[in-house]
Amino acid sequence: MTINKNQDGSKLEIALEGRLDTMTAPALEEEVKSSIEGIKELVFDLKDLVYVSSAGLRVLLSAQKTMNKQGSMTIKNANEEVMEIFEVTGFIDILNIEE
Amino acid sequence: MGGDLIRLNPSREAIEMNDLAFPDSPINTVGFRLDLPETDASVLKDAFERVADKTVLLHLELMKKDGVRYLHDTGKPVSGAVLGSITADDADEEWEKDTQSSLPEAGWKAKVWSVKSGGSSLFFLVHHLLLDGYTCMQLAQLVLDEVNGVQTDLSDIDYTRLPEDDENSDGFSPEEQKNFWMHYFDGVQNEATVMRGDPSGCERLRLTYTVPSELLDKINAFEEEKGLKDSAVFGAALSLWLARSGQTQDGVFLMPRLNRENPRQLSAMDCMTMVVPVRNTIREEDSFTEVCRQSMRQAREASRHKHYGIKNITGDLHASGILSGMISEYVLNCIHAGRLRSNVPFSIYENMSGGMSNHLTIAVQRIAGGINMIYDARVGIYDEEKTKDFNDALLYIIEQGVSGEITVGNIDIVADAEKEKLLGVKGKEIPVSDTDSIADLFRKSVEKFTDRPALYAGDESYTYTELDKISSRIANALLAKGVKQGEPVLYKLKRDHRLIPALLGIIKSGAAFIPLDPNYPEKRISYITKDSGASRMIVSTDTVGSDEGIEYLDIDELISYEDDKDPALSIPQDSLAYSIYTSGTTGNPKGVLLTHKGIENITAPDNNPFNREVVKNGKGIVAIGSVCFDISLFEFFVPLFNGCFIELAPEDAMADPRALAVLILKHNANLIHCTPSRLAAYLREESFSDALKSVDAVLSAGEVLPGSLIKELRDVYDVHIYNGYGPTETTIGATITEEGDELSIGKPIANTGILILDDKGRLIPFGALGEICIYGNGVGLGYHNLSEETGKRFKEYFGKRVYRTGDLGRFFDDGRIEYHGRNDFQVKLRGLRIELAEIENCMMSYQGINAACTQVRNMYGRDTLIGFYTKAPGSEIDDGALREYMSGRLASYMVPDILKQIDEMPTTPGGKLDLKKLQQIPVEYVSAYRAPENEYQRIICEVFAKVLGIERVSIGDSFFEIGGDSLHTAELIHNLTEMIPGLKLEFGDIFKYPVPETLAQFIYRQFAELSDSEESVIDKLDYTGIDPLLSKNVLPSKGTDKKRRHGNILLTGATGFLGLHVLMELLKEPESFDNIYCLIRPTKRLDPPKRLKNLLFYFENTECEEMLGTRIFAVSGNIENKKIFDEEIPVKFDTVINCAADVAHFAYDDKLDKVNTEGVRNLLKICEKNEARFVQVSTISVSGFYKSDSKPLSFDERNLYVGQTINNQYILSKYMAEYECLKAMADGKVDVKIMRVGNLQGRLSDGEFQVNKNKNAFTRRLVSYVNIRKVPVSVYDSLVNFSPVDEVAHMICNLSRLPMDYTVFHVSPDKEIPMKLLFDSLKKLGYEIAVVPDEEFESYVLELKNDKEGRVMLEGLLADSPDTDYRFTNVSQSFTDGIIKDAGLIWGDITEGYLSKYLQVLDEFGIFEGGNV
Repeated sequence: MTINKNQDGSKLEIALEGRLDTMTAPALEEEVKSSIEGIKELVFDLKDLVYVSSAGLRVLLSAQKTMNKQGSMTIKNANEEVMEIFEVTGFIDILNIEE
Repeated sequence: MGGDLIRLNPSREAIEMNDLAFPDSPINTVGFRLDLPETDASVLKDAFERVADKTVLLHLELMKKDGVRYLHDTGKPVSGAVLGSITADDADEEWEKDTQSSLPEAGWKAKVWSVKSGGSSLFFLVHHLLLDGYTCMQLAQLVLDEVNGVQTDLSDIDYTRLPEDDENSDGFSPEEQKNFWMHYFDGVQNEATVMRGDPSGCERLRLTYTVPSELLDKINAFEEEKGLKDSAVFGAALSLWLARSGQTQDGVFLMPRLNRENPRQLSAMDCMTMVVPVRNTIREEDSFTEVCRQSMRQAREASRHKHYGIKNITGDLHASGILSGMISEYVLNCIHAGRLRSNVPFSIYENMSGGMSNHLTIAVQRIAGGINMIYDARVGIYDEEKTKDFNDALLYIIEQGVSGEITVGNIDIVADAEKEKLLGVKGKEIPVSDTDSIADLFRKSVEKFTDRPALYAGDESYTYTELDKISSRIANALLAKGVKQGEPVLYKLKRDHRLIPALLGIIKSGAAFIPLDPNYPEKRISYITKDSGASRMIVSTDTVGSDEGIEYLDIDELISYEDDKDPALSIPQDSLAYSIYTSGTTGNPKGVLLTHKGIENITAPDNNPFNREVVKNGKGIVAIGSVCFDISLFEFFVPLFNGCFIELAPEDAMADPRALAVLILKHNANLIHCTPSRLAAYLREESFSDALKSVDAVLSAGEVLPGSLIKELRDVYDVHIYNGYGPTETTIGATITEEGDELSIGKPIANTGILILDDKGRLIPFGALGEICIYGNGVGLGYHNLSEETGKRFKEYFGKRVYRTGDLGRFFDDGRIEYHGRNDFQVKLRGLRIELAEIENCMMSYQGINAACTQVRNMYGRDTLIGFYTKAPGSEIDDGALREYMSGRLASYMVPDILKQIDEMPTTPGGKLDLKKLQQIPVEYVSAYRAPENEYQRIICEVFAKVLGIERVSIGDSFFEIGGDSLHTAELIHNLTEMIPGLKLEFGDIFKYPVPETLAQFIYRQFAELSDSEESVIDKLDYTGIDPLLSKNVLPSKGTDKKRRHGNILLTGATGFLGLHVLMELLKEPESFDNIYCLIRPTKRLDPPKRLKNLLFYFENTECEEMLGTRIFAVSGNIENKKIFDEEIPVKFDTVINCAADVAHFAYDDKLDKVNTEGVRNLLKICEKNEARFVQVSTISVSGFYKSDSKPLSFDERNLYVGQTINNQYILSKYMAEYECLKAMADGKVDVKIMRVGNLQGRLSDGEFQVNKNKNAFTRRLVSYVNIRKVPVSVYDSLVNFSPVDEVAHMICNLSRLPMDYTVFHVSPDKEIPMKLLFDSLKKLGYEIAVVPDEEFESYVLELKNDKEGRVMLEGLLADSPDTDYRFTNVSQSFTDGIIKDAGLIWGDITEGYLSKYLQVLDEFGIFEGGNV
């Protein structure tokens, strides 16, 4: 999986490419942790994310939890597979998803 | 007899409850120490061991089976005596240590010491679950008999009788019992809780004191003379202490009773103690002896009815509204060491530890000729000091009582140390002059501050020197008119620059001022004028009046008097300085007479924190207080005597935040005075909010400060707020808070003290609720011309002149005072004591409410609590939301029955609330009447009306809106079930359907369902053929090694939690099958192959991706359809594994049937056609329930129908599916295997759980426990079926390959796990959940159920709560366990590591935080 970060002031956009699972989640978690301080607006661009696993989803949820306290988080360009996971897990209502 | 399991009797069950609530504590330890100074240790040890050999109780071990505790007879002593050697001194220490340490698992320990100075000693300590204090003494006697070598005199003791078969009856019917207890408590007025506190856990403190020998002799003589026992004397003393402390008529405590009446019971070695409440009515004029006798009678009467049980007694009293909450937090236990017989010398000490969650257990222990007072106290309520104070108090009461005839009214209930503390709550002593008058103080200020600004009023201003001169003119003019020293002079002036000079002028002339507000009604002014006896009134041309006998003095004329030199008269400090009229609650205003001394004291620079702030940072104050309230004098004199200026607010500014803002900024005043509620409302006004930023300190008074306001002021405005309290009668103030104190009204100001007294002026325990009484420099002279009233309120107590405020309060440990509202605002509502102030404070803390007032009115024949409120400008209040808010903060009975918004609170001219006018505001339950339309509606409306005592109920009326509360709910359910036979109603149903219309529907539905009951459905099925089939599910004598191949598999439900894991397990053994076809429904986003791949990835499985499309195929279809497949699949299936199910437990249509039963029929047809084997995943829950009063049912792999009841649609549909399968097999159509699974949970490998965690009933229950942070001990202590999904899938794959004969398996781990482990892991995640006794939990749940928020928190528990009339059928799985073992399979261990991973996954998904992240 590739993580592309793009920070513009207090706005951070993270684009994910590939598969987010138990192997790759820790790297994303680390990236989020190291750059989330002071961020008011966090955007995940999932255009090139093929699949997400439970562990991967949890990293997104944890980012959401942090952002609830300091700003907002948006997920955009999720594919049908990833959307399906958001839906069956019940998080489609909790995450802020741009369709 | 070995091997028998003995159920715990009710006494033991009660003890067990404590035991579980206080794990690892010596709480339930009883026992004795037997000293034999002339007996060798080896003799004593032998004696004890012989006794242990023949005493069955000492052979018992505690064990648990199916989560239930039993005693188990091991046939021999479970422990033995240890031999040691010790010195006599060490023995005492060792004994103390021993009694404080917990017991070994065996349940008892015995040590025989060889005492170095000679002789021996036996320490025997035993768990109260095994035996009680009485039996301890029986044992001691047996040991002594053995030592003496005599046949026991207690020959009638049956050592071997197992203590389980006692008929527990007093010979009264339950009805008689209930009547007795209702009568016993009729009209009771008691306070269960004397001391408030904050007990954070179940920690207990144990302390022992000895009764001094002098007192002991008196007690013995008294008891002997009067023929009384300890229980009577100590019971009387405790009752007196309770009644006096709680200021109630009755003292009520709990008392353990021996519970042995007949010879058989007396001889039995057992644990039989039961607890009863004892009520003692205290009449002040009764002698102590009489109270002792009464206590004895009451205890005896109560004891005769003890078998009804404390739980039933409490329940009945609650239901009838006689009591709420605990009966009493105090337990008294009198223990006699008994009279043991022995030829060899001995002495004995008994150890008795009570142990409940109550506040204080007092054990009065007679030993070796003395009395020990042993206390077991709840930490957080009692500490060592308070316990000692209590002990001293109790003994002091007894000392007074037994030292000669005395009436209880004359007995003091606090002893010396506590008395000293009670008399020591006072402010610091600061030096003040004892001669300075107000005039002197002002003069000193003028000399010091000369040209500083002193007063701004409108466009006018004065420096100190100018103010001095102008007030001197007025004084000299008054003197010229003949005003005499101490003469009252009225003034009636508008709030302009002449007001303060007038007031100072009167003072300088040596006269006393009486303020009048020109806005007061004419009648009131006339009354005060006449009552004051004054003959002069200072007025301006526009305020002049026409009262007879009054000389009106024009202020302008006085000011124009020439002589501006300070007359500097010598004015005695304790002479009258001013008089202020306060509204009496009844009738006319009263003139309160105050002195110079009081003003001098409260204005002293070091008097209180606010003054210190003024001295340090003060510039000027905006004075807004009406001159008719003494707070205005504080606003005037504190700044004037400390060099600050007064910005006098005109009348119209006082209630206008914008005008106040202008005044603050005009000359940069940095002090204001404002009530908390006004301040909170004003903050919403922008200009005020801006102005407040330049303010340093706020003085508030009259209300308790909300914490949110303190915080906002501090954080947003950097403003310190001080909250003062005090009546006019003690000169403006008596206590004040340090900044940021929301709970209390602070501590006394300097040279002032506070006493908390009962209604007769007697001391009550430190921390108990009583009347706030004030002494010190501020206490005034009394009321003008009202000697009787003065005599009532101004008293001489403890050598001090004291003013009784009529306010209630209690001390915190540090001497701060908690305010509890007016004495007369405390009302009893439907048997419950409530404080209106508390309710009002809660209402006021609701955003947008300006003012609130509550009243109790009798409406429709019942007491109704009404909450009036006004809203802040611009806010909207929704009554429903307000009610919910209050329900979340107050006991249900304190939430007003009616909420009523009014435009403004009616006030008296002095600005106080006009209760009379409020009383006249009409309120009513508003709802348009709709008549019942059917029979159930008619009955419900009738019962509503009956229960609530109202005339007519509309079918649209909500039970809770028209006055129903939880108390009525029980009554309602009772009446409805009586009127509608067979009806089942739970508490929650009423909350769900509070309106007759919907409740009637609910009842119709219930009967419709019952008439088509599942019981009858499954009872009527044809089981021929099935039973012989099932009977083959027995273990073969030799292991089975034949394993069949799966061939081509059709797997349904492959995207479900279990289905996916079955697929993954199958793939681990690729040689066991040919191909797998997964039947999957397409979704709107993904087709079946994509769905499968996506979900496999979600569950972290990528290994089998390469098999997708080669050996694993996703095919589109739905088992609900007859054809099943959306396209033709040209494959012959060999095995069909059905993991598809709709797991919703309730549904309004036939969806469950369609998937779970009909779907299985469709699949069976496919199997028949393909000659395929069928593996059906089912649930162990098909074992169902049985009625608790019928024979227990058992259920294993050889059973389908055993007479069980199934009351859940989901389980019924799964049962029917099993039936279909087995029927198909019995008919020779399909080879079937049924896999009944248990509580499927996260997989063992990494804890991963089903995609939608919130849909799992078990986790929802966990979530509820986390939500409420409490778990009942029975649950904490229980075992739970916990089946990791991967393990279950693994077993299913293997079991489904077994020979055809085996048809049914119970596929769940062979061991259940303790729930405790889950809670321990939750704790590590930061969710600390308190383990509480079941009863406490139940009552907590009941309380929570009262409001919506609470019910949401409880959702997981309420949704799944089993009907209490039923028990789970006992399920066994030994057949499956055996088969699994034979097949060489092992269940993976559920380790703590796994559980914490599993919980961590749940936590990371936020399910413990309401399912949100």
